[in-house]
Amino acid sequence: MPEPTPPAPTLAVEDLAVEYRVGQSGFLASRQTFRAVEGVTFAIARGETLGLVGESGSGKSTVGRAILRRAPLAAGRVLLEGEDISHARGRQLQRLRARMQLVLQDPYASLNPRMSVADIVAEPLIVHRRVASKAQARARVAELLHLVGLPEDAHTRYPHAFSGGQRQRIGIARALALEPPLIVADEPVSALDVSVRAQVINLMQDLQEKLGLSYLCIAHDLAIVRHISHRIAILYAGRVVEIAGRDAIYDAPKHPYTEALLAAVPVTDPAVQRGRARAVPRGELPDLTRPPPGCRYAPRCPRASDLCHARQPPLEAKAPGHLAACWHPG
Amino acid sequence: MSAPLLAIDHLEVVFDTRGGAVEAVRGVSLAVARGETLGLVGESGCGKSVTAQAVMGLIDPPGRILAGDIRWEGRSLTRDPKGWARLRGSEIAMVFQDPMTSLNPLMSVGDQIVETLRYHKRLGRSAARRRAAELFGQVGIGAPERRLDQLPHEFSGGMRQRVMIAMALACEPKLLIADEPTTALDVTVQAQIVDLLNELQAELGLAIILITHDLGVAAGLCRDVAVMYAGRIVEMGPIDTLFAAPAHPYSQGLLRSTPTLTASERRLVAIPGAPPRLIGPPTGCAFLARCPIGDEACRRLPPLAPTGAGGRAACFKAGRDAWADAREAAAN
Ligand SMILES: Nc1ncnc2c1ncn2[C@@H]1O[C@H](COP(=O)(O)OP(=O)(O)O)[C@@H](O)[C@H]1O
Ligand SMILES: Nc1ncnc2c1ncn2[C@@H]1O[C@H](COP(=O)(O)OP(=O)(O)O)[C@@H](O)[C@H]1O
Ligand SMILES: [Mg+2]
Ligand SMILES: [Mg+2]
Repeated sequence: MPEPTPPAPTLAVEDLAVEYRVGQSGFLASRQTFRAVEGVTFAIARGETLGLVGESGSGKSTVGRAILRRAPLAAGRVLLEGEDISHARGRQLQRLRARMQLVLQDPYASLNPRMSVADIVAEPLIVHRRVASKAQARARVAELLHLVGLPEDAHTRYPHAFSGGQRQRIGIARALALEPPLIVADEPVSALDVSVRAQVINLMQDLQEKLGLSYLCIAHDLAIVRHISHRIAILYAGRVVEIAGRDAIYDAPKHPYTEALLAAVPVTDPAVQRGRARAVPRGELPDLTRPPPGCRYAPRCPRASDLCHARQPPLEAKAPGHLAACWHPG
Repeated sequence: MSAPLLAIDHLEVVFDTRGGAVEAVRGVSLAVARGETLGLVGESGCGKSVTAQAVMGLIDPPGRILAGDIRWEGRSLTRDPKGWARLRGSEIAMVFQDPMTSLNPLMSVGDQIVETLRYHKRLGRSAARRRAAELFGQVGIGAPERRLDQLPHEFSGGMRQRVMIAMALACEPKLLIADEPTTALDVTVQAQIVDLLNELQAELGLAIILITHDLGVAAGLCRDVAVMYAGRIVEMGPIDTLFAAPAHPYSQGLLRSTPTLTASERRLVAIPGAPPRLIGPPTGCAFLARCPIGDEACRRLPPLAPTGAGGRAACFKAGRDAWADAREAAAN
C-alpha cells in the first residue's frame, strides 16, 4: 500500500536569501549589495508556532517580509500550503496576501487613527470582496471583535480610545478577517507592558487552538516566545544557527549564541540574577557587507577555534529534530 | 542620623492639558541614601519618568509641582532653584533610554565630554581630554583615544549608552538616575550595561535610581525597589524579600506575568484590564478595577503600611495571595 502523502506544511521556506542595496538610493548611489539573510530554511505545520529569535539587525523582519512577498527574494523558495509563491505577481499575489497576514509590533503606528474600529477591521473584507453587503460586513466585524475579546461597542470608536493591548487586539481582528492559515507576528508584544503582554500571548494561543492557525512569531528575546512557540529558530547575522523544539532550545541548547541569549534573559530572582555567570559575549553583529569567512558568530564566540574562523559550519542535526550550525556544539 | 542623600516628600506633579489636569505623580515619598541602589518599577504611564524629572528640576509647563518637597542632603531644592540648577549634571546625573536625544549629532563625543568637564570641573583642554579617555576606559569603550574623535552615529546602541554613562560620570555625581537605560537594547547588550552599572556602583560608591519596567533588570542591580501604580508607590522594600513575597496584588501580578525560562504553566497569567486614566483618577485604591480580591473597602485609599518583611504596601489585604484562582485556572 502506498504511504499517504503527508499534508503540505502551512509554510515552507527553502534556502531563502534577501539582498539589500547598501546606503541611500539615488543616481550616484553605490550599487553594492549585501545579503541581510541567507540560506534560511524552515517549515511551519498547520496549527504550529515557530518562534524566530535574534538580536536587532539579525534579519528577522526581513525573513517575515520575504515570506509575505514584501521583500525581494535573491534566492530560495517560499511555499504556502504547498504552492510555490516565490514568483507570484499581480492578481495571484493579491490573492496570496489574503492568506498570509502580518501583525506588527506597534499597534499605535499600524492602525489608521482616522478610521473607526469597524472600518479598520472591515477594510480587508471589502478590498478582497468577501462581503456582499454592509449588513454582512457589520455582522462579520462583530464576530471578529467578539473573537478577540473586544467589547461590543468597540466598533464605533477610534484607535486612540483604546489601550495598547486593546489596539493589538484590533490589529489581530483585522489580520483574522480573511481567515488566513498563516500569521506573521513581528514582535507583537514588544511594545506592550508585561502585564498586558500575557493577555495578547494568551489570546494568540486561544485563536490558534480555535482556528488551527500557524504563526511565525518574531521576537528579540527568548523569554517572551517561550509560552507560545512549539519550535524555535535562532537567527544570527542573517543565518539560522539553531532550530529545535521549544524544550530542547531552553534545556539543551547546542549553539553558543543560543546559550548567550538564554544567559542574558533577565529573571526576577535577585539572588540568581546577581550571581549569574554571564555567558554574555562582548562585541556586536558583524558587518554584513563583509561577513567573516567562517562562522559569523566566531568573532564573539568563547568556543571559537581556527576551524570556526575558516569555515562556515553547516546547519545539521545534532540530535533528532535539533539542528545547529556549530563546529563545537554544547 | 544624618539626612539621606535624596528625600522626596509627598511629591505631586500635574500636567495641565486641554483634556484636564493629568495627575502624573500623586503623593510619592522616598529616600535614597549614599551608595544605595533603588529600582523604580511599574508599567508605562505610572509616573516613573515624571518623578525623575521632578528630582532633576526639569518639570516644565504645562507641568508643575503641585505639592511636596525634594531635599538634597537635607536642603530643600524646591525652594532654591539656583542651587537645584547647580546640582543638575554635577551631583545628580541622568542617563536616558535614547542617548541620541541627549547627544549632539554633529560634534565628536570626545568634544562633548571635554566641554562638560571644562564647564563643571574647570579643567584645561588637555586635562579634560585625558580625563575623557580615562572615563571611556572605565565604561568599557575600547581604543578610547580613537573613539573620542568619532561622531555619535558611529557608535552602536550599546556603545552609545556607554558614552552617555561616561558623560554622566564625568562630574563624579553622587546620584545617577538611569531612566530605562537598557530598554532599547538587545538582551545581550542590556546585560553588559547592567554589569557595567554594577561595577561602577561598587567602585565609586554611587547611589543609583534605576527606572525600568523590566523587573529582571531591577533584580540584577538594585537592593531596594519601589513599585509604582497610577502615580503612587503601592509597595516598597528590599528587593529580595519583595520579589520573593510581594504583598500588594499589583506587585504579585507584575511578577507573575513576567515570563520566565522555567515556569511550567502553559499559559502566562495576565493582569486583566489596563491602568486608569490619570485625569480624574479614582480616589481610592487605583488598582481596584483590576484587582481579583478588591472590595467596597478599597474605595478608600489604603495607606502605605509596614508589611512585616521590612517593606511597606498600600493594600488593605496586603500579603494575601490575590491570584490563587487565576493560577489554578492557568495550570489546567
Ligand atoms: N529596506 C532595507 N534596505 C537596506 N537595508 C535594510 C532594509 N531593511 C533592513 N535592512 C538591513 O538588513 C538587516 C536586517 O534587518 P531586519 O530584518 O530589520 O532585522 P531585525 O528585524 O532582526 O531587527 C539590518 O542590517 C538592516 O539594517
Ligand atoms: N508633558 C506632558 N504633558 C502631559 N502629560 C504628561 C507629560 N509628561 C508625562 N505626562 C503624563 O504623566 C503620566 C506619567 O508619565 P511618565 O512619568 O512618563 O510615565 P512612566 O512611568 O512610563 O515613565 C502619564 O500619564 C503621561 O501621559
Ligand atoms: Mg525587526
Ligand atoms: Mg518613562
